Amino acid sequence: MIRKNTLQRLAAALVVAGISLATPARAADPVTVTVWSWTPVTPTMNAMIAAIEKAHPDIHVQAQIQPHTAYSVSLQAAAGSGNLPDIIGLSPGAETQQYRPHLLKLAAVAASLWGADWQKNFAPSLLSEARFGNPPGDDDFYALPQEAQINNFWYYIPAFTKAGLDGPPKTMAELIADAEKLRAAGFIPFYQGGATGTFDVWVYLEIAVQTDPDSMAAAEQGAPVWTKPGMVEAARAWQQLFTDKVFQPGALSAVQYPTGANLFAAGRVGMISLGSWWLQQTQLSDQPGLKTMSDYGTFTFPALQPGGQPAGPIGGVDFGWGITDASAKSPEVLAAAKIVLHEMISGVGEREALNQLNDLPAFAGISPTQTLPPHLAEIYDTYIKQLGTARTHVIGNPVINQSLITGLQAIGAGQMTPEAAMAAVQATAVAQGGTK
Amino acid sequence: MPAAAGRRRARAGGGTAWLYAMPALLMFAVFILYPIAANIIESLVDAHGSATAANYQQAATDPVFWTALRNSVVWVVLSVALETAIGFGLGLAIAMYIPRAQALFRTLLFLPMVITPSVVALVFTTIYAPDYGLIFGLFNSLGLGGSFPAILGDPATATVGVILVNVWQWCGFFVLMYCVGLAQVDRELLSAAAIDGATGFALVRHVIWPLLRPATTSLIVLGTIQALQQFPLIFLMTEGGPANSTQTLATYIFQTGFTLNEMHYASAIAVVLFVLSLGIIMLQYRWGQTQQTADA
Repeated sequence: MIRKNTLQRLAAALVVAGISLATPARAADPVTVTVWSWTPVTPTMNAMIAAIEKAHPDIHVQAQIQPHTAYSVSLQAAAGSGNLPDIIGLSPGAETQQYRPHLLKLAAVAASLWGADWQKNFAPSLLSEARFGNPPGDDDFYALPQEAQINNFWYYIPAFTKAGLDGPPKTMAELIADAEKLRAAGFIPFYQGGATGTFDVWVYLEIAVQTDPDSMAAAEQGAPVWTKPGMVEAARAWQQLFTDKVFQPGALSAVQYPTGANLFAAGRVGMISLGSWWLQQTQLSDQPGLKTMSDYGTFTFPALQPGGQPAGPIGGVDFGWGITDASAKSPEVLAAAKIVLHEMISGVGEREALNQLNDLPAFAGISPTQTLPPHLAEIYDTYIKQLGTARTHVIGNPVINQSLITGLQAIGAGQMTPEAAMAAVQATAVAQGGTK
Repeated sequence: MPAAAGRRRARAGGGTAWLYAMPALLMFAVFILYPIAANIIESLVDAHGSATAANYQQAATDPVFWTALRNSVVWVVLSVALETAIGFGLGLAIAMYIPRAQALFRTLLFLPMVITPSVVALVFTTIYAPDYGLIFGLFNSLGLGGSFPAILGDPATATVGVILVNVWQWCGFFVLMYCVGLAQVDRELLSAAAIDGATGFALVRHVIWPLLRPATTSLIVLGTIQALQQFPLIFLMTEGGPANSTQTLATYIFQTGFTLNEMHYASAIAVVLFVLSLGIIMLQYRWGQTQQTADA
């Protein structure tokens, strides 16, 4: 009798469970959109997700943020096994091109989100970089930028004051003299994380934008113009930073992150190559001078010749987002993914990121809702203005990029002359199929 | 009849043994054999899937590949030689002269092994750093700050600089293994050797060292594998630079595969690393066997 009752209860439970499983998801169940990236940092991403989910209760965003190296490996494995998430974070150029076969074309999506003239919302350098490496004739977009950056040099005002300097250097001669004074005052004059190849390239480009901006822009897109006089002149100036002891000794063994950034934040360094993303330090530090940036200032590479003009700004896409073909498997998920993309680039998501000063907005007209201290607001506004005229800052072809890193490090180590190093990069660019 | 029954039992037993071994064999096939085979195939095709030897031809003409290969060999030779010499020397000193403090010293020397390589890399990058590093500070206090070398910034010294960090981290393991080996040496044998006049260096050279040869062979094999697969220290301390001077096959596989997105070329380099590892380890085993035969 007991056994019969037990069996009856078990059968009833199974029927109920079966009915539950067979019932379709309620209309109110949120659609899940999966997002993978290496940036922004997890707290910022979480704040963005909370804002997006609050604005769209019918969408659930499931994000995974990993360090870039681990992210690259995960992405490759996921792409190979057909398990990509719906939205992925991308750098312009090689990374976007690598996953292009798995990415949806976004020009039409952007038009549906922001109108037919949607491109006016993005600076020219951002639109240019977003399409770096597209096959000839393909003008579509496979990733759209959420945030932009300006690359420049920062200086620590108390160090300059202690060294008897009243502002950043305006010429190369002043840069060399200032470095000597900063060293004498007990500071690392100009910290360069030379082992971090990306920063070597950025400093080189920040010089080349002064010596031959057009060749620089062409070189970034793969043209073999590395032996043009202006490009070699920039390499000579790069060499001078080592030979005239502007960079600290052993710069080629130093890393920009975390060591360089930490030393700069600790007030041990006079000058360093960073960019607009450094503004996020205001949210991470309790030091008054950092919290308001009152102890810090920015400058572009000084004029190489007396009486010359300092370099103009370089910059472009910090990071962007692509929608993968995985999302297209379900109309609901695809629709939700487009909404998430919209919110991350121009909506509540981006506003959250901006309030944490994660970097600069790629989409025009958005600004932080918080009131910034005057000095910080001035730096921020300058960056926004520079974004409109900045030259691009990415070498589109990763093989040429690596060749440039090797050449610049060889110059710094005294193994190659600037002429020989640029000739080697030129040979790589030619081998990669670039045409003069 | 009993013999036939025995054979049947043996056959039945063999089948059971295979059944028991099957999970491990399956794991071995899926996670070891298949990736090796897949990697070899990847190295022999181009981006369009056509069979080609171009990836190996590219390696033959790629100067960075030869730098990486040379550095990998330097890593094995220098790293294993220093770890063995320091491990044997310290192990002997601890076992012979401070046996009561053996546990303490073994623990202290083993501690670096449990520190994650990323932390080790960060600490030693700072220690080596000119201008603000610990060693620079010592030089500076002696008035020699101006002549302090940029160890990791100079292509001539960078590889050795990273290898020394690896030796620092791993020699504690060698000390530990030699201490264990020495603890198993028969004391009566040592006393007998001493009576026969074998003392000091002669005792070490002709008695202790041969007795520890099995441990040495194992340590050399382990050290070789560790040196060949070393990646985090190099990547985090120099990223293979300056100017590719510290690339090894392991770091160059990463650079070609994941930075330059040349997976087929990276697979070819991985095959070279596989063959190199296999070759060195086979040579070491052959050497170990020859020495044991000579001792017998």
